[in-house]
Amino acid sequence: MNAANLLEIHGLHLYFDTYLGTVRAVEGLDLTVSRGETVGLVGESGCGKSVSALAILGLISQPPGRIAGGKILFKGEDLLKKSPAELRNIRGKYISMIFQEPMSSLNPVYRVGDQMVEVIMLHRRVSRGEARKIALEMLHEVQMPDPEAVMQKYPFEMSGGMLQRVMIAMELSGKPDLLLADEPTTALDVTVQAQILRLMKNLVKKMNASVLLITHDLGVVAQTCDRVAVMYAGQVVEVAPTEELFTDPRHPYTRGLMGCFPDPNRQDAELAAIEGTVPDLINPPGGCRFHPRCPRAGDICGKEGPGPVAISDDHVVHCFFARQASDDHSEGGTGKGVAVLG
Amino acid sequence: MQIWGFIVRRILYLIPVLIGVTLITFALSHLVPGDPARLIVGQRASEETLERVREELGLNKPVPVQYISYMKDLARGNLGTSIRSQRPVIQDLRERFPASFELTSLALLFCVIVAVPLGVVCAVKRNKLVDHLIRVFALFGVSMPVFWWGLILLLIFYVILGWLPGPGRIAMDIAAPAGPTGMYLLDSLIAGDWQAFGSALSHIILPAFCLSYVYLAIMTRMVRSSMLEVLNQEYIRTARANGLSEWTIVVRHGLRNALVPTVTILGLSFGELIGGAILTEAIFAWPGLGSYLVESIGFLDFPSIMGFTILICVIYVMVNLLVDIAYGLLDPQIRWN
Repeated sequence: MNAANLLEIHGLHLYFDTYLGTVRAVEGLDLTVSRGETVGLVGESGCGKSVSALAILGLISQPPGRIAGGKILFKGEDLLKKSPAELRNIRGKYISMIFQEPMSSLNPVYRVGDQMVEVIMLHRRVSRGEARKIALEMLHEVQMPDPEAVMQKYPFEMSGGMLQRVMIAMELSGKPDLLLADEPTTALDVTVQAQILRLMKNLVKKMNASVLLITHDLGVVAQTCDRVAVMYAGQVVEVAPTEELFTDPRHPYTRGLMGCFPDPNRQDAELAAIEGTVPDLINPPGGCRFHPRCPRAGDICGKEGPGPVAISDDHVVHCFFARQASDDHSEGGTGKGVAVLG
Repeated sequence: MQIWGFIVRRILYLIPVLIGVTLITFALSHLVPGDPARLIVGQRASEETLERVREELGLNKPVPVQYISYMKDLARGNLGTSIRSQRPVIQDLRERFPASFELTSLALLFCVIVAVPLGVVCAVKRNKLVDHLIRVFALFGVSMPVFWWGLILLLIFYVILGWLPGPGRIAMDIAAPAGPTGMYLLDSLIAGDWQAFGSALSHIILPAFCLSYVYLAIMTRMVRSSMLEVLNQEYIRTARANGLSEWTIVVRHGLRNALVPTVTILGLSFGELIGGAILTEAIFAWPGLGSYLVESIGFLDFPSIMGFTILICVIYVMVNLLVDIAYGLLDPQIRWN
């Protein structure tokens, strides 16, 4: 394990046993997050982003979930081998998580302050009075107006944006090394979204924490991430530094996603959609999982899975045509349906 | 404090409810076939006597006037005179009430102490062996009629094993504790009479268990299902992600949310139990309200039956008030609406 890496996921296989069959939600996920880095994990709903994050914290209930293989190394230690007690000690203290719905993420029958104090007392081993002070400080850090009053409020008395600030304050109060943020702004208004992202970015930088930001929104990625991993049907298909991903996307799926994203410089351009639907993960397509929807799939794509192709040191693509892909892109995209229709 | 405003509002809501209750009981007493005056004087009395009794009872006046005088009597705590005992109904009820209250309270206490932990265990160990066993136990409780249980328990613990005494509230040779509450357990404790306390306790165990079993079963399943629902909520996931222990998650974050529907069942059960312990009281010769009702019905003792009905309604309504207040305490959202 590279010492600079805080988190390394190697070949994670995560299955869910259902009545209809085994859902192979995550198959061979590789991902690294180094210290102080913000990594975006991008993909459509159901591609396995959220369950991967839950797996890091050991929050996949088994059954129906099943970790069928792989390693999740955090500071060099495999989280999958930790006992429940060891995992509890890691949760919230070394790795925290923020969820999509701030409205339902806090317990409705307890005051916001009491919930923060509970977590702070657990991880910082301080007195109740000390914990209250820390909670107030954290609320101040997330630029909450009148933190004293906020401490006394119940979750249902607050707006989604305010609650997400509380969540951020609460989850960062333990000074975690890694913050998992699962669509933290999806449920919020666009204006609030930008504020929250900026706030999170600044705070995390100040604390030198790493972030794994899960989102389906490329705008969010562009705004916050140092590096991006694009996920499709339970596998990472492309990893690149954010800027490089936007300027030189190599995987046809990544380029499809870009096509779904409005380009302010091309007002005449219609938004493209990626044809077809997300594959059935009980019987995923053989070979490259994207090949049935891929505009440039060849014979080989249905037969074997593409290995990693390194475009540069930190740009890796899982596609047989990765090296040729950039040529097509410079032409403005062609092929069946993926491309931006000019 | 907003909680006090909430309580006062709830109490004000009670007034129309109680007026409605009196209207219904009054209407029922005038709808039942038969002439109460004739019941009192008997079949062979002369027309004059009948007329005189009618006048005494105010039955010759128009119905609205009768209702008003009925309400006036009620306000003074006068529920009429029992035909059977020839005593004021209120006095009869006052004598019978503590026995029922004691039995019901103990039954419900037992119910809560057993059902809540069982339900929580079921939810946490969902579909494991212990969950199945508890559910079978609960299914038994819901399915078996109370008189069957009563007889079987008496047969086993009283007749065969001889571990517990038979029917009644206290042993024949022990003086009933005289005290302010009329509840033997409390009164004997107040008096420091351990012998009476022991006897009263051993007498109440079987009927209390018998009475509680059905409700215990219902409540266990209720706690289980609401706990399962709560444990799937996102704030529970947050609590897990924050590294809280499973005990804290279940008890502190889960149970309080799951208790709201449980308290509803508890309140309804209390209302039902206090007047509805008829079978249990009959089997265990328990001199409470239920057996009073049975005796009164046998005598067509209308004033007693009506008095009983009003009392039960008032208790029911009061218990519902307590349930509403408990909601407010458990769930801050309810206080605000």
